[in-house]
Amino acid sequence: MNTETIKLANLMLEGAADESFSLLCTLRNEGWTSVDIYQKIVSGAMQHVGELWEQDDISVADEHLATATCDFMISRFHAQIKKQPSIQKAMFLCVEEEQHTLGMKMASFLFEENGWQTRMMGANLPLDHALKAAGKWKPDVICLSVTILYHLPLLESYVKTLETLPFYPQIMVGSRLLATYDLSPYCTPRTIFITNYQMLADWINDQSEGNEIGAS
Amino acid sequence: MGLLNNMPLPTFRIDRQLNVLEYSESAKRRFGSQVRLGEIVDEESYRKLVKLQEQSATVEMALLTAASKLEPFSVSVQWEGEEAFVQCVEINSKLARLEQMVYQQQMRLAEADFQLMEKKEEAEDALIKMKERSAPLISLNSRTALIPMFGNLDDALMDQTKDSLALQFHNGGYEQLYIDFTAVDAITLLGIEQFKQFIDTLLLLDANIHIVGIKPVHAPFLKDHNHQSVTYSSSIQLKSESLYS
Ligand code: B12
Repeated sequence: MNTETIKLANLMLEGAADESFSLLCTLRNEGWTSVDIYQKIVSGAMQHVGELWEQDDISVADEHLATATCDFMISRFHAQIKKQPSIQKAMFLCVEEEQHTLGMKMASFLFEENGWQTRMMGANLPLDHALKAAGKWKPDVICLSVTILYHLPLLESYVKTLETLPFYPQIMVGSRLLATYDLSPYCTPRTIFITNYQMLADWINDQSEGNEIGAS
Repeated sequence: MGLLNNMPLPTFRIDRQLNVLEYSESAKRRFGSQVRLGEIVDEESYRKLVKLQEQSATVEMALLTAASKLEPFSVSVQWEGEEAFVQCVEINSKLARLEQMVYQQQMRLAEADFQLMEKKEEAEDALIKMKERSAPLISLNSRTALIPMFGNLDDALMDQTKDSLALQFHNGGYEQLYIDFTAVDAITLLGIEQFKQFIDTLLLLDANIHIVGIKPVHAPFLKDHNHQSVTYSSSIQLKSESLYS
């Protein structure tokens, strides 16, 4: 793991909001892309926080502080970025009970950087709420995020129900579980799986190069 | 027996192999009937379970509740020979609510901040534009250019304009340059410092510089610098006379 990654993890565990924000800004000034900052630095640092908890080196309270610092830091970082508005729309949500939102939040920022309109529906969204919101806003892409293994069975009903919406949205699933589990039994053949931000950026690029959404 | 059964906190009696020998009513309500402690411990908390198997300690673990939810607990184990008591304390979910509220407040403040920042940037952009327009370079003929200066000759004005003016002068292939002070209000020390640097640059570019329209209040600022080849006059004219000759 990168030394900057560990450094950021430590800053976030101390709740050092300004210092962690400036660390990201420094990397940006050194020429790092958002994709790399979010993937190698921020995701890496949060994973490191998880490992520290697994090893009994920190408590849940520390993890909460790191999370709040991280959440604020990335929002502030993203606020500096100039976006060009476009007509494409992406909606983001976590299945019911799922509280892990940071992964999809950074994904939504990358969509925005590429000009997409986004709607962040947040953690723990019941399926009927999701259906209603999507029905009204008609996003081109609906992005789902699952982190906890035990939430996987829920994913199936979300993917299958949302995909039947009359405007035929593309369903995208992002999850750390993809590294170890095959999620396709819980999804449909059209579902797109994203394991990291480079893969996401490539997909977004493909869309703007005129490949129609959902074309495989 | 009865004692453990009535424990208010979920309590287990286990052996070294982590078999559950006995559990409290509260444990059954929270986790269902278990025969092995490992059954309710999340796989990604196993490292800590191993620790508990070896020693008396308190650790935080993710446990699977009877409602099939993964939740954080603080788990304490006290070994007595080959048997131990285990008690589980829920890690307060009120923490999450509090955190959510703090976060929302933080974001609200930040949003105001972000908007202010944007406004500030807009204002700065406008100021830069204004400054740029306060010292344009105008072509009088193929050899001669004029820079009429407007407003205060200060640090900000020179900062925003001097590099681009020198470049325009050079790229335009001019030889003569008139700098008109008629519309200059106040001059600041830092401003004149930069102005002198600007003149130095232009002289390096072989410019023939004439400063015109100097008011008496400006003279002290210009007096003591040693650009001999710069001439001063009251207006633009073919032949210029030096103000301090
Ligand atoms: C931060 C954190 C929390 C925070 C989450 C806050 C928040 N707003 O997100 C809080 C403190 C609330 C929390 C709570 C819990 N957590 Co937690 N948490 C973590 C931790 C440390 C980091 C997660 C994270 O943010 N990672 C960084 C992000 C960027 O990574 P990511 O989500 O995987 O996303 C990547 C990809 O998956 C992908 N991606 C993800 N989503 C999406 C969406 C789209 C559209 C796209 C394109 C891509 C994409 O993009 C990212 C690229 O790097 C992990 C440790 C770990 N190894 O993950 C544990 C972890 C996930 N948590 C765990 C547990 C047990 C819990 C709790 C049960 C107990 C606890 N610790 O408090 C509760 C349960 C809450 C619930 N019901 O959901 C376990 C899960 C075990 C399991 N079997 O699944 C982990 C693995 C820790 C551990 N080692 O035990 N947690």
